[in-house]
Amino acid sequence: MKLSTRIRDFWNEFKHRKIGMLGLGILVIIVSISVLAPVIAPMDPTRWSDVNYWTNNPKGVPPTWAYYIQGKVPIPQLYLENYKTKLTKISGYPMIQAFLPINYTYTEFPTMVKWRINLTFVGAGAFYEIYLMRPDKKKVTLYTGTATTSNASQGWTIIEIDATRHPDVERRINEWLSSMGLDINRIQPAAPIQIAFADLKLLKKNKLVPLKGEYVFTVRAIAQGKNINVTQFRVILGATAYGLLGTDKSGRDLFKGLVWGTPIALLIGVLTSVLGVAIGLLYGVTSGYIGGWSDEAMMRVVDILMSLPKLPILIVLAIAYRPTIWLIILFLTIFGWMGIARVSRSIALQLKESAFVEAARAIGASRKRIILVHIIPNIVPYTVAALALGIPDAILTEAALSFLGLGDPSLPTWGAILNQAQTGGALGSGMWWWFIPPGLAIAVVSMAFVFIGYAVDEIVNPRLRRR
Amino acid sequence: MASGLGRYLALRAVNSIIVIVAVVLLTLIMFGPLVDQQLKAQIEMEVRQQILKGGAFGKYKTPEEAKRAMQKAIEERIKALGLDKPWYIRIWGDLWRTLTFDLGTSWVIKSDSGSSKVVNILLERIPRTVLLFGTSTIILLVLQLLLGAKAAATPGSLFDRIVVLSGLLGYAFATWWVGMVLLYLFAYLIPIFPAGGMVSVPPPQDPLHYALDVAWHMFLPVLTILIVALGGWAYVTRNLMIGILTEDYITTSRAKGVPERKVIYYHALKMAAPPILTQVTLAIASIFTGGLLTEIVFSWPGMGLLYWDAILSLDIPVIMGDVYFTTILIVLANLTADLLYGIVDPRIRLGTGGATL
Repeated sequence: MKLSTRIRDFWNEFKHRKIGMLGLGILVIIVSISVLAPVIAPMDPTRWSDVNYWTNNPKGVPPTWAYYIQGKVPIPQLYLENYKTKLTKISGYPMIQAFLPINYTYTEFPTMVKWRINLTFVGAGAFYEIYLMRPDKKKVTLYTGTATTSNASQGWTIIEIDATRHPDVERRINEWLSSMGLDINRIQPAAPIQIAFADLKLLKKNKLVPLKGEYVFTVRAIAQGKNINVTQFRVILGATAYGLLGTDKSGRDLFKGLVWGTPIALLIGVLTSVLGVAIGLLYGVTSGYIGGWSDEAMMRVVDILMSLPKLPILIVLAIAYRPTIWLIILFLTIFGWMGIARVSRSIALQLKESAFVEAARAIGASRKRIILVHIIPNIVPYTVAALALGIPDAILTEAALSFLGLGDPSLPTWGAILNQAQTGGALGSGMWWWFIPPGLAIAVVSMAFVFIGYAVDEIVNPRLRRR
Repeated sequence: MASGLGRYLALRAVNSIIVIVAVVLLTLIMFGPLVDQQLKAQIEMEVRQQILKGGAFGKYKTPEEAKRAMQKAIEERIKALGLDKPWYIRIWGDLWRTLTFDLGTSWVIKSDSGSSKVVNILLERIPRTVLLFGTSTIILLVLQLLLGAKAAATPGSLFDRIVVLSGLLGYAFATWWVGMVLLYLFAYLIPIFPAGGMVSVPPPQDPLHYALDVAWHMFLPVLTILIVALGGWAYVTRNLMIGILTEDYITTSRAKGVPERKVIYYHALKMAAPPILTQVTLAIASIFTGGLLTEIVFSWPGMGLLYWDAILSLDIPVIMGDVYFTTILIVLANLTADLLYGIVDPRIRLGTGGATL
């Protein structure tokens, strides 16, 4: 029978199988996501573990839609940049003040407060103070510092601080609190910076609610010299929700991680399975066709390899080599070909005695030709199901390895995200958006191939059909 | 009669020994250089401390002389331990030591009783893993036989289709992730189960309450393993049973008027037992590794959590010991299944083939 008709016959049978078509449908979606990843979630995937890349994102916030479902509106990410300056003199020294106002009308606290200030001055040094003027006209000093320069004509400094949990900022806020007879240990905010936005009347009743009104972030700096200026003043207030799948505790966009995890999982699964099937097929056929003593020995090797404990050995290899994704695929392949080898061998044993192989041998075909032309093409249909089922196996094993923190550290694999969720205490802090989607993604991709494999198996091995 | 079973078991035992030796050799080759480095650094530190502390430093006239003496002492120690010989010679000694359970001392991790001996750390952990894994496996075996047989009795029914579907889904889910979800749901969102560990702190005093407390902690991890593995196992049993139920002798029993219940749960199940055991043998390792990772999620202080701790602190001797004992446990579990298989399958018992499994 011609190959094209065989494939057409196969497809005609396959398309009547609901579960197989469901698997195929999921697969089409997954492949589309993989191909479109740069469009859906623009990112350089190798910068996934680069913390600086994510530094301006809010940390550990839920997806936006989760807010709307509860009928709440999240605070957006606020970038404050339009500052005004005022240059004056204080006891003969130049003093600059920069103001960054924000009308805060939200019912929740910002999840992050970050600022970046660029201070230039002429002189030996400068002293600066960053404070917040509150709507109730109270001043909260957040940070102070000095800048010096060896170059007396021109000095500059960049003050870039994540104030959310900064120890200096926390100390300043504590000082401010105790100056009003309050104690931070009794209040226990999620982040110390939130106190600076709190309604004091309610705070005295131990209620942590933001005070609405106009706040002004202010920089005040005095130069020990002739001139001073603020050339950049930017404050970021962190949103309480982010994107489609929220962020993890380092501010990584989990939607991007999920999308980019798809092509990686497919690559690992498909390549491992294809390599494993190819090796197993060749090995099994050779062993079965040659037969005799070497067949016995080759199958002994398969027996032993099959009883090796997979995960412990992978752990050992991963610790010893700190592998890249390619090496991981190679390691997974080592454990992925023995099943096929057994099946191929038993089919080869049957085919060896069949009439058409006898005929080929009679007209003087070489052993290599018989194996490659007459035997292997007849086994291939039986390996299709194994190929499909080998893919989820490889994906799940790689995920397990990454979950142990032993995957390729540079890439956003789903297992690695789950590892970070486990070490970052996602369960305890209720961050379901961190650990539910990656595990579901693993399951959905695996499911697609399991369904396809099951349907193919039913067609190729009619014995297994439901009676 | 015994010769068939004996030959078969001997073959399996030889296979098991090869597996254990191969795994140990692999870990030794992989970790040998790392362990050597650590040992040499330790020797150097000890010698330096000895010389400084013992006041022997003043003995030497020049710093160079002191340095030379120190170097000599270090070399002597290295020679005494045999560390100067190449790895491919030393590895056989290491292999023997490992096989005889001399696993050395850990770098970081200590046992609950405070011991740094890797063997002691593992001896504390093994029973806990065996408890979790053994309980799950026994429940799994019983339930899958019942569910699989019931599905096979009515192929195509709703119940049967649920078994098939859950069998397929079982292949797709990561056990440890299902554990994370269950833990989140039933320990954090609706806190009816403990958030991890094996016993409450402080543990209950009388044995009955202690056992109940452990069972309470064990509930979610066991449930996790069951949810993921049960469908697949029941599916295998179902397929084998469907094949057997079409055999002539089953039709004969039915025709003789044997009750359907007895036909399925006695006659057919008995025939299906050997192939089911084969499948169990194949599945046991994967259930076991799934269980190890589940331990991590539930902070169950067994061998799986030990991997996690040892990887985090890069405690190589502990990882080596853990790998060794994991291999032994998997091999033993497989041997038990092989033994049962040999007893159940008459072809092997009578030595009429089938031994080349």
